[in-house]
Amino acid sequence: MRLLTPFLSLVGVLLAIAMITFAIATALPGDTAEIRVGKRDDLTSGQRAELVAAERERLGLDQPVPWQFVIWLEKAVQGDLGVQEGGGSVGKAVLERIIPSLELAFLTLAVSLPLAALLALRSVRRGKRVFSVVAGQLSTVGFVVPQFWLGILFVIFFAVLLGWLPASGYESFRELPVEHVRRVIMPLITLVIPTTAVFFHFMRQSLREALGTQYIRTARAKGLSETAVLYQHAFPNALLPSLTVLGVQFGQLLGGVVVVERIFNWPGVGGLLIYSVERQDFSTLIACVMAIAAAYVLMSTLIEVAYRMVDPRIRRA
Amino acid sequence: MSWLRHNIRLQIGLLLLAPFAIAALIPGVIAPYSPTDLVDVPFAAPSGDYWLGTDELGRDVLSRLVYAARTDLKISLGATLIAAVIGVSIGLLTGYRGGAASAVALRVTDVMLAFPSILLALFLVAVIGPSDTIVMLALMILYIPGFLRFARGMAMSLRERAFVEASVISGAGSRYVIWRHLLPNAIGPLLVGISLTAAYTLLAAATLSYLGLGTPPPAPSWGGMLQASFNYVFQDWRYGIWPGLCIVTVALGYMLVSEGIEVAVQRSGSAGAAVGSVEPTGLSGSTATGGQAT
Amino acid sequence: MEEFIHGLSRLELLKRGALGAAAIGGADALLRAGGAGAAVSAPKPGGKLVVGIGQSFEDINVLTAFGYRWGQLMAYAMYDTLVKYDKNGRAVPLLARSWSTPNAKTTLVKIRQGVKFHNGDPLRVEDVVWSLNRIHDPVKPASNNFLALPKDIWGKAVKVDNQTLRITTKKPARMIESFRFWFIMPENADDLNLGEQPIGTGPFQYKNFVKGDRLDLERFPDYWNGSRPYLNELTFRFLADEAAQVANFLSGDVDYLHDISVATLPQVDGKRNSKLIPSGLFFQWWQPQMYFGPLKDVRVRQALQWAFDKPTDNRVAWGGRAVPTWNPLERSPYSIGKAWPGGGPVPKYDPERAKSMLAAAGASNLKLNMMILKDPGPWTREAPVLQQGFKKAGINANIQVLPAAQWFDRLYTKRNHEGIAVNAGSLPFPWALIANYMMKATLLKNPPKYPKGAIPALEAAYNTAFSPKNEAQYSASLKAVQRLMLSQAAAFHTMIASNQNVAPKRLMGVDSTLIGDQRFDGAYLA
Repeated sequence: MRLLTPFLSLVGVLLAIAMITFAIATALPGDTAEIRVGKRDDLTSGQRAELVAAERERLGLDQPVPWQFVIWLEKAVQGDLGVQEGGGSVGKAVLERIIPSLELAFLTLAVSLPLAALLALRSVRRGKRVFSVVAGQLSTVGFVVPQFWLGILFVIFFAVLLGWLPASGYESFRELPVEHVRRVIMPLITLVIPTTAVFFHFMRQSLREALGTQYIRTARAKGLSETAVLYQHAFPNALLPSLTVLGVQFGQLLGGVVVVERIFNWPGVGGLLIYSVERQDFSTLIACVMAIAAAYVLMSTLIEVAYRMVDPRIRRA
Repeated sequence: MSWLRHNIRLQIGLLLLAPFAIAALIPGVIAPYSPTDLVDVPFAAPSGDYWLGTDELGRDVLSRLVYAARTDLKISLGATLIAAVIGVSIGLLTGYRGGAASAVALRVTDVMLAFPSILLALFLVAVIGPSDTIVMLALMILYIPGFLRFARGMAMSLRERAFVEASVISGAGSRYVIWRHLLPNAIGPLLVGISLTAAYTLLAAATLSYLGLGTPPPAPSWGGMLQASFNYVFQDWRYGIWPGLCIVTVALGYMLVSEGIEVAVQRSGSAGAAVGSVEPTGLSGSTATGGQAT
Repeated sequence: MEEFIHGLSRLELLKRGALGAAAIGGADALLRAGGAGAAVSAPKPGGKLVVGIGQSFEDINVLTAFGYRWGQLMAYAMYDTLVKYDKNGRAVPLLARSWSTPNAKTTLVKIRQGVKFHNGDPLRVEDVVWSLNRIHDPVKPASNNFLALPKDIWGKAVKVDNQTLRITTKKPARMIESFRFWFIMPENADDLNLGEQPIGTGPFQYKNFVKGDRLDLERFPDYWNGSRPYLNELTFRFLADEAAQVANFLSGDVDYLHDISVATLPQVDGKRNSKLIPSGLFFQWWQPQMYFGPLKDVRVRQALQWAFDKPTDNRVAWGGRAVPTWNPLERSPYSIGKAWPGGGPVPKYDPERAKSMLAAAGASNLKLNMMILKDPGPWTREAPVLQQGFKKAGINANIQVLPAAQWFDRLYTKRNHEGIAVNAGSLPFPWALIANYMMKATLLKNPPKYPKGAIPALEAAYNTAFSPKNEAQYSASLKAVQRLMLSQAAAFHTMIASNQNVAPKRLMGVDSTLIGDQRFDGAYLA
């Protein structure tokens, strides 16, 4: 039962987000119906107004907002997220786009976590103080450089000047795996640098705290080697707090890949989001937001469940 | 100034921030020209008249950087401070009181954290139009949850402490307790969180400018200047270095200040320093304050 | 019926001016002759061309997505129109083998035989009939419906026999020039999903679409036009950032940059064995809000004509490559120094004069709103420059950046933009739209006060211009409209610049129309 409550709140959070997004989206200026109807100079303003009213009715925009939300929710739960202007299904479009974003997010975590862990572990060892300071400052610098600047610099360096990697684009992994890898490298590095920095600082701090506990002092007194102390005792205890950071960073990555996607033409959900806001494509907009939010909330819920399973203290609570 | 002595991080951090603070306060005095006047040909080389040369329209780069300092610092500090005030007050209150309000506050922060950050900015810009205030608003909302959670956690753990209980027993109301006991102990870590968040908001504001959601032209901002420089990088590559360097330096300054304050707090051994895992420590403050958005 | 203006109908002029709208202009000295040059060798089959365009696409449905210049580029590759235009403005048969106009309200078109769609189906008259009617469908407008005939003119298209169709209109109308924009789709294309699987008769067929990244096309082996196309593969990469365009070109990920901006041109010109192919003329002007606000007073607008700092604008924002004109209404763009039909001296940048004129109109320290588009374009550089120029005339201007949808909404749909809004298009001039804009004042509840008789005269001139009895009447009414528009200062500060495309030196045979569109069916790598 304890493990179930996080999932319940997941639904609650998603519902809340859906409502808020809906509310804000209806506040967007520029009537969607007006835009769809277009200029229509050939009509008198009266005729045009009729057309706009008809379009508004067709789109369901003449209903009060809460009712519109209920209708949307009803359809969404059944899997119908609406139809895009061009005729394609919104659900399909968003699904197509969220996968590349998720790929970048997961790959980033897969690279950053071990990297940060290695650096942090080395930094807390006795006699590695210089390494720790250098690593610490380097990671801070890696964090404060704006991601979009970093990305552009990589493009200039690796694509234009050196010609080693393509400047932008996306190839499906299934069809051209090598090309896919060549194109994921730069966006990945751009995301990995600040993410590793964050994880590194946090892990180092956790490790320091863990190393200072009574538990560790006992282990050392027992005569365990430094390495054993570190890897067998301190590290697992430091891991648990890292889980919380993981959740937040994942969320940041999902929302934050927008810039990286834009620089490298990576077909992720961020680009679709911006597009749908500018085109006032209501259905796509909501679907994008929900997809991103759902991914984040699911991830943090899973983390919370893992936390509860692993940490005996919390399980009892 | 004992907190400054032997605190090299704080010293360097403040040193890095100082020139920009001055530039932000009295841009008219420091900048040789107006940021919008066309003073010479585009991309004029650095010279005695234009220390950093001119930009793509022929405006003095240095003057634009100086005025941009005002914009960027205003946005980053403004958003941070307001978010801190709101987040901390609600957090302390609900954390101390506990109960339903506290649980609700936590859920609300969940929702706010799950909301794609960029979307909020996009929405606001779409509804109201790009401006400094909009960026500040969007960023503010982004970082309130972090402060709220931090303050809430701090209140929740501090309220069990002896000195708080003693105060309550002797009849102190919650406002008194919060003001006199919780807040002073929270100040240390709070300042750490504030300067850290200021770094985040600066970077986030630059990113929003890059996406075209920031200050409308021709008002300068570092992010906007950096973005513009990309269009000319193969013509004049030096142009983009200056705004980029400004962003990096100020963000670095904020971070060093935050680390410095943290060291000072730990040295002082206040009750706030001993509070557990919600304590921000350098970049690991991202747990409390939300990380680098976008 | 004869062609009126270098093969351009007035009805088409009605549509000019919406951003990116295509239109043909007369011969134009800005275009250096022979962009693609004489072929140095016979066309060789094979090869791949990657074209970089400045807009990102999430949708490639010809019915919904291809309204503007970038989209039309891709549409021309996958779909055919009935005719196309050659460099001299003459109609060249494509899917229409021949046409005739037995009377002023009827056009007969004979369809080319033996044409196949990408899915193997033969092109029938029914497909053409359906396509033409669909484009003019008032309920389900196609994205490029502003290039369709107005509803009060279009009648319908019907099949006559297996080779012929008849188009009837409600009023006399020339439509042969509009044929250039109407893409022919299979019958009932609404039921096919043209966004997932485009099906046209064009030289290239759909291969792959990565949303937000690129569209891959490959050669259609059964294309009706001889051994065309020559290229095996044609890819359009979406590069909405100017920086990305440059980077991708220099890195070799893109071979051809379409319609490159003045800012990025110096960075790629001559690099990587490339050449410039000029095509079409880009025309930018500022449109005032004449119904309300400070520019309601014609004296204020006339004062404003002297406050545009053209020389600095051209030098700084256009790299000296534009031709500034004052008269947006001449059939030829070269009206610098020519007689100003509005009477009086030709305005040039004279801030003192503007200041005194404003003072005389009681509008000193005028607050002006300048509305520009968020999409990259010359206006992002021009607006701050003009703003500085306004300052010297005591005008306090602020720049407002809007996304395209909102810009369109305010400028065209609601017509409630404040101050001046940037507008742009291709030649010839959108004078008709501007005139239209002025005329619509009569539809408002409180129209602005025009000089006595101005609006009825304008309406009459306008209507005549669109249904003239003969060339002479057309010329006269055109001049009347022009005079009125100039005296009313209905448009400001026009800059005309040649569209430039960056191509590999060995690329030959690119069909550059004078409207800035390109077709790649005859392109080959020498």
